[in-house]
Amino acid sequence: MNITNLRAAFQLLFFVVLIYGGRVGLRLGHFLPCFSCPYVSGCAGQCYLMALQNSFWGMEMPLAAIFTSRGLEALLVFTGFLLLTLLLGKIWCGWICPFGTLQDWIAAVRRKLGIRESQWSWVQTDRLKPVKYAFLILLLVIPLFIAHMGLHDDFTLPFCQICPAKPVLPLFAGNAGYFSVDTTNTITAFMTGLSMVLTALFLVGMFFKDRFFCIFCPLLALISIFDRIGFVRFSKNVKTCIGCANCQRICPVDIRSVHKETSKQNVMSPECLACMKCAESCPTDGTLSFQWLRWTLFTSSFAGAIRKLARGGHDE
Amino acid sequence: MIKSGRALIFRALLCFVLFMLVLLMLMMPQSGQAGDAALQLPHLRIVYGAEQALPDGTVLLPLEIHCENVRGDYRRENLSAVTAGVASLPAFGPSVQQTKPLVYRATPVTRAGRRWMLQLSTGSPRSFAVRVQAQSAANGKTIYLTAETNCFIFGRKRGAKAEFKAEALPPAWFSGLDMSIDPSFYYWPQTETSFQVTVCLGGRVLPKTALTVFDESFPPARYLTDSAGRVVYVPPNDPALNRLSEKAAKQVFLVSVHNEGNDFFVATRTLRLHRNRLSHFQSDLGMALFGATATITGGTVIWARHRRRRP
Repeated sequence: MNITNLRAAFQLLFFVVLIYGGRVGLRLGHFLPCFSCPYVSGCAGQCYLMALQNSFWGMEMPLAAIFTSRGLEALLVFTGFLLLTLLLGKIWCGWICPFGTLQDWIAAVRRKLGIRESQWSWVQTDRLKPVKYAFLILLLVIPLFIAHMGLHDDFTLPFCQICPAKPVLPLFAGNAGYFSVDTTNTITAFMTGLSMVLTALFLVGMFFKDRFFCIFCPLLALISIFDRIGFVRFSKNVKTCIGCANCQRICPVDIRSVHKETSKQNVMSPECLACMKCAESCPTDGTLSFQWLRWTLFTSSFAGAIRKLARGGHDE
Repeated sequence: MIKSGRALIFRALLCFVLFMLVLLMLMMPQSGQAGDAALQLPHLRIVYGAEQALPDGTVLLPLEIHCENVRGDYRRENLSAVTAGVASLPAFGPSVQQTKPLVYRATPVTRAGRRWMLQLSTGSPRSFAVRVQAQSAANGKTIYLTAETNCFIFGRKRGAKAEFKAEALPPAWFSGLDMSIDPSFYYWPQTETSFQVTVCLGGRVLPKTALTVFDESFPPARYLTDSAGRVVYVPPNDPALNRLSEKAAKQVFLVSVHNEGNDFFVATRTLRLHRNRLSHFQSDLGMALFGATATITGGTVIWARHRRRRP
């Protein structure tokens, strides 16, 4: 089995486990480093972003309580998230995240329909990169403002309120209820209206561009903070690289740095999803490789690249 | 002629206004004659204080016991035998599927000025049923007062165990009117959902008994129990509550009065109501907004791609 099919199988497996696992009693905690959305009834675990917004900084726990048992609880949740992030790093994004899987499925439909992916300039791509950090900062700051500056409580879980996974993923559990505008008051109407607009924008974006949401994903920004100390490594043998730029062309999030790197071995960039498509399409043996500590997970090979090319390269 | 014509019109208008007033009074018996008895007799109210979380994870909930309508013969000083019982269950599971009768245990009540206080505390997530009883006697008449409420407290103390060690209260302790509510342990009581209230005395249901609802946002409303002693109460949508946060709650008091000779029985139940979470969800509006945005964005992308392809 090639790495693309293996990844597709893993994605399907984790999608089913994370979306429906709770129905058979599976509880993976609320510190998962992927979009396992708590709004899906019967999900197996919860995205850490909710815990981050609600417990760690949020109004349920003022700063003074950090050194109490409640602080310890928040710290335990963070430790859980950190351990999982260190263990699997970006593999959460490329192989496990249900929302990432959904994006891949939407892109597959586009390819089946014969519609080409939208191409952006590098300038446009670079300009959009900081947006995920802005989202991350906002989702940390807004709960603090609620807790200490008197911001209205209805801004609670600010990112969850506008996250496109909230209305979309519950559809797989038969719930279309979040495709609504909550007219309870002005704030709820604004936030749910914004959620509808962003969901539509992201879904259209996902159709025309591979992994469109990942460009803006604050969880990816958070995971990438721990790239340097994580167990999953992405390395490049610059001496054997022939500069074909296959890695750049095939990357779903348009990463250039792997191709451009001429000296450093570590080429894990903050945007990388560890989908390993670049390593699969690299035609030189051992130039690009993903490792888990000392063990090699996958490495590039001439034979592998030829097989991939025979299957249709990018558009498989 | 003109003068008498004006007088005629004036009289006709006056008759019309009077007729409308009578009609209005007849059409609105629920608010027009709201809770006469409840407004005249004293009644207890359990009023929730501010929850306090201790550093070790224990959560304290002070409950104040107010005595309303203490006037005339029924002075606060006449109130005697103020006692309280608290039944506690784990927050979920057992309390939701509760089938066994609750075991009430005596809880100390302290007097603080013009009111009484009791405090609930727990280190683990638990649900509580609180019942307070008192008596007031004047001019040969006795009033048996009860006040009840059910609530959840989510303690977070590590390794916390059940706190109540007091003896269970004997059946003889239970006196006065009972006002039970279904759903009894409702995690998130909210407006626009129905509650079934049953009024009974010593296990005997009381049909045609008045139930008065005191809600700070609305005038007092009066209901009558049916032949099975039940009344379905649906708290109305409250725009003032909607403007507050989702966690904000208002306290609504249901008061029922029954008398047998010189004995009066007054029961009060406190409901801590939140705004309704789902009733304001407009799916048509959401779908329209989603559809419009998707169409505009998709159309723009297709148009831009098409324009780029042209030489």
